[in-house]
Amino acid sequence: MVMAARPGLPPSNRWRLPLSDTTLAPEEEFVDEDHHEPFPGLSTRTSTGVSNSKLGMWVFLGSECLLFGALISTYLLYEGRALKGPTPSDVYNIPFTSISSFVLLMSSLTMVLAVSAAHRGEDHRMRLWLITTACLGAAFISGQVYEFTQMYHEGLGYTTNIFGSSFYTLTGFHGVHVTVGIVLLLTMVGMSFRGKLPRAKAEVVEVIGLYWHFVDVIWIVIFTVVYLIHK
Amino acid sequence: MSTDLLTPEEANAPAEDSVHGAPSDGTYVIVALSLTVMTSVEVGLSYVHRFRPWPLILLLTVMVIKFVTVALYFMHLKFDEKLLRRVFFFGAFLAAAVYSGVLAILHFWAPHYR
Amino acid sequence: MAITDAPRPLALPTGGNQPQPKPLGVFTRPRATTGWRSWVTTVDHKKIAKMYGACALVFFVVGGCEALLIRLQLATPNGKLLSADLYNQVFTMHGTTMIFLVVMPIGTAFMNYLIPLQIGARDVAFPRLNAFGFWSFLFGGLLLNSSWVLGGAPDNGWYNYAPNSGVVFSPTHGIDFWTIGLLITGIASLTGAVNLIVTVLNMRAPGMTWMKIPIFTWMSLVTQFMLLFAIPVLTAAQFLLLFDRRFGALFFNVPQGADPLLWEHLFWIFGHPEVYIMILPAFGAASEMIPVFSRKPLFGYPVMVISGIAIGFLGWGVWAHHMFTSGMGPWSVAAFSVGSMTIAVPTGVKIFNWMATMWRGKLRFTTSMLFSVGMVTMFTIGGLSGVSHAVAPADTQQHDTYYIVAHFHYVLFGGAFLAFMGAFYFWWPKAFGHHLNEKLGKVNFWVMLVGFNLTFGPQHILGLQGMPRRVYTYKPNYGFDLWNMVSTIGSFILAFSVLLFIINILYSRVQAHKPGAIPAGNDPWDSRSVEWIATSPPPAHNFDEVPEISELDELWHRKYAEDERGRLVRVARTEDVVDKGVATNVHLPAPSYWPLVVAFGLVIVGYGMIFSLVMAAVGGFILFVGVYGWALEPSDDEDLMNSHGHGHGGPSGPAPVEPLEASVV
Repeated sequence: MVMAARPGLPPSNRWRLPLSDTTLAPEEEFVDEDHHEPFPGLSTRTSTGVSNSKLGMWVFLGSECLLFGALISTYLLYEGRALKGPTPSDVYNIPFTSISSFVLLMSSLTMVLAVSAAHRGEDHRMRLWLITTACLGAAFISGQVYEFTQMYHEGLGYTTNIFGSSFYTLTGFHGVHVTVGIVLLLTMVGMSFRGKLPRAKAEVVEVIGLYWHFVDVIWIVIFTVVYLIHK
Repeated sequence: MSTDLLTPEEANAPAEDSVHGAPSDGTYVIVALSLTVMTSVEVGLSYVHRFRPWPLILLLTVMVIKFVTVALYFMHLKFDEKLLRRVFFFGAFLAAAVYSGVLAILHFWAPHYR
Repeated sequence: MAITDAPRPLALPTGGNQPQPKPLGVFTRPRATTGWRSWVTTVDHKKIAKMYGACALVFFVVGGCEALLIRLQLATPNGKLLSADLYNQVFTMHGTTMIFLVVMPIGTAFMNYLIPLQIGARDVAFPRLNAFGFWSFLFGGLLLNSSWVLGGAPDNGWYNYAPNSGVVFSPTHGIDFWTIGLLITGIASLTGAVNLIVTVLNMRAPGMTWMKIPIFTWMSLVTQFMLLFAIPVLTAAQFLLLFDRRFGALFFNVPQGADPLLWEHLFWIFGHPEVYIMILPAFGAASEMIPVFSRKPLFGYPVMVISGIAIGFLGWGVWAHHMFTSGMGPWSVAAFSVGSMTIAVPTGVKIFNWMATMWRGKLRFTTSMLFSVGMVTMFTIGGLSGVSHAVAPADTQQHDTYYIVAHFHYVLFGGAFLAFMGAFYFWWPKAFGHHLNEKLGKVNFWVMLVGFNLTFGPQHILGLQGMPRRVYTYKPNYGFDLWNMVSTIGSFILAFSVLLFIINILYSRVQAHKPGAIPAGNDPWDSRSVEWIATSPPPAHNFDEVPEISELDELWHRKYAEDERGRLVRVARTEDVVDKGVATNVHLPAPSYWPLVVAFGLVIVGYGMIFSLVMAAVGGFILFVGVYGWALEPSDDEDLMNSHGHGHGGPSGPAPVEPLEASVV
């Protein structure tokens, strides 16, 4: 039995049917009150109207703020307290880092274009944008590696002073997150080639996209408070 | 859904995904361009040494605007359910508050022994 | 989900005569429904919860033995049982075990078991992630405890302050076991938090709006949010420590300019929310039991919800009350002192609400009720000493003495653990279909209460008389002798009460399997909330039909109404409003090996970080394969899905019927 609007349910919830009700026929499960075709891919009917995986990713990203916050504040505490060895102004190359920041920012654009293409079912274009995003991410990481190598040669090692330890740890954690993101992106490209990422599963791309944007957003903070504002 | 012919305004409006209410690709490009401009402003401000700390305060403000812009547009929070916005920004505010607290204690209010 | 085929049996499919699909060409989907394999590959929240509970009780015995060793060593002055070094290891492991491997997992066990049942769901949002959380917890706990035989246990206290935790002052691997073991269990807590938050937000039965959610689930939701935000802080601190110890980083190297207080701040930003994480589920459980055994609704449900949220919120602003004597300066001390006094308010509100619930109720002092009332009283005592700590000048004397030890044992054992004991007795019939013996239960309670108070009551006195914490012995004629002996005697009485509990579990099980034993039935206590609608124990799919919720205390209102004079009138027989457990054709997420594989990979990485980076690389490889296997495995059994002959084909392949989770996790 398809239920009509029931009291107590949030009005934004289009699907007012209980989960896994054993008495329903499959055709009736997905039809909303306007009798549209079932929205492909969104089969979970949730109390908030947001899918489980999307909500799950946002909840996780909320926790990541605390993780990066700890590393950023440790850095801020230590950047000016090194007793010896190079200081930030000795080793930072702002023009270079600005370019790699720009690259990462553009990767967010290509990511969102990939999501857009996924929602429209344009598989080829989606793969193109995903690969571009991964390439831009890889370019960013290469820039980081180059930068770190330069800094090392200028005398800033991981164990040189507390500035070095905190700088490399913070940017290292961020870099690992970007790398994991690149792996996720390429995995999605692979899945798409094998036909496992159709339009019905566009949300997977969107959810991975959220992770990617978050990594970019953290860099927005790091670039400013670490590189642009320093002693 | 209406089957009327589109008016000229509707036909020329940026394409909207009727299910998601998402912005069009064109909008995203404009957002990306504005982020680029903001980044350039930030870099520029970092070189300004007079009137400190005001350029830095401005710099941090621009940073926050960039953060919020990416969150609202690229991460779609502007168009999604409010719950998502609340969960994420709660985490962000909590982090900012707690860590500002730690840094304040360790910087400003610690007795100076160095 | 109605089926056009012939009905299939309730249990997960055994494959029949269809060829089994091989997703990766290596592993077929596990199919076992009984036996040890069904436990190892389960994704059923109820089985996972039972495993959490069972392992937590085993760790409780381990931590308890560590406690008895401490008490034996301190029973007399100049104790010779344990050397100073060994004593340090014992008290560190006692604290670490009890907090991370006992109280938190017991809370998790109850939350995992009850949340889906209380909100009318069939499982959690991400069942495989749930299983992964359990295995990570178990392996992390085993890794931590393996330190005893692998070079020495951690010996720097459960809070492990730097710089004492660095390689200079702690050269053995003990600290590394602490760090890595807790990093792994931290991952379990974090994934559990994401899981349960999404479950409560997204999977409530129709009609269950915010203010109709059972109070235990509400407190659990606040707890999960606290975990979500607190664990990453501990994780960050532990990574910094690990990098210092393993790779020579300088985070806690004071001669190089490091701040000696950095660890303390990061740790206690986690550590204070942590104690509320431990107590809130217990508060929630008590808030379920007290109304049932007072035959009255919980007094001030909205206020109980809001005070829980307030505790969750304010808990973030008081961490430095653990650091009053650290030298952080008078402004900070004053601010945190005031904050800590404030947080007593929402907690006190709860105490009053429980009392008001009992006031003029028709009280039944079952074992659960005894434990719940015991919790309220013992927690109040602990809370009062806590408020005295908030007064910073007073704390300056109390800090690092046995007065603090007394405080936290009163709130953690007297508060959280007693409530959990009551919760065991209360929900045991639901989970196992039979009661724990009530007579034995009452003896259990009284012996535990006496033993507990004898152990920790005198420690208030010892602390105020000046006995410091963490000392492996003391000289005679300081005036510590008598109360230490009393405390030790008390600890053995307490240990005996735990033995009684274990005996009760075994005895009740034997009795339940005898012929003629009467099963507990759906609703043995005449309860109020949704989980009692399901059978005891519930089938894998929880409810025959997802209940429709119209009010708080849904089950109660199906059974009773009030007449014109406000008196309770029975409107339906219990048998008519509860499930029969006869539903068929319910679609459930299929079991999986991958969570176990990924957890195993994680622990190999852990050992590798301590002993050999090659091993860490191997572990990383297992992790990588495991994560891919997991991600590419559909959340449901494809065989079952294909056999249903859905008409929805099309570009998405098999119909996207995934009632419980998205296909990635």
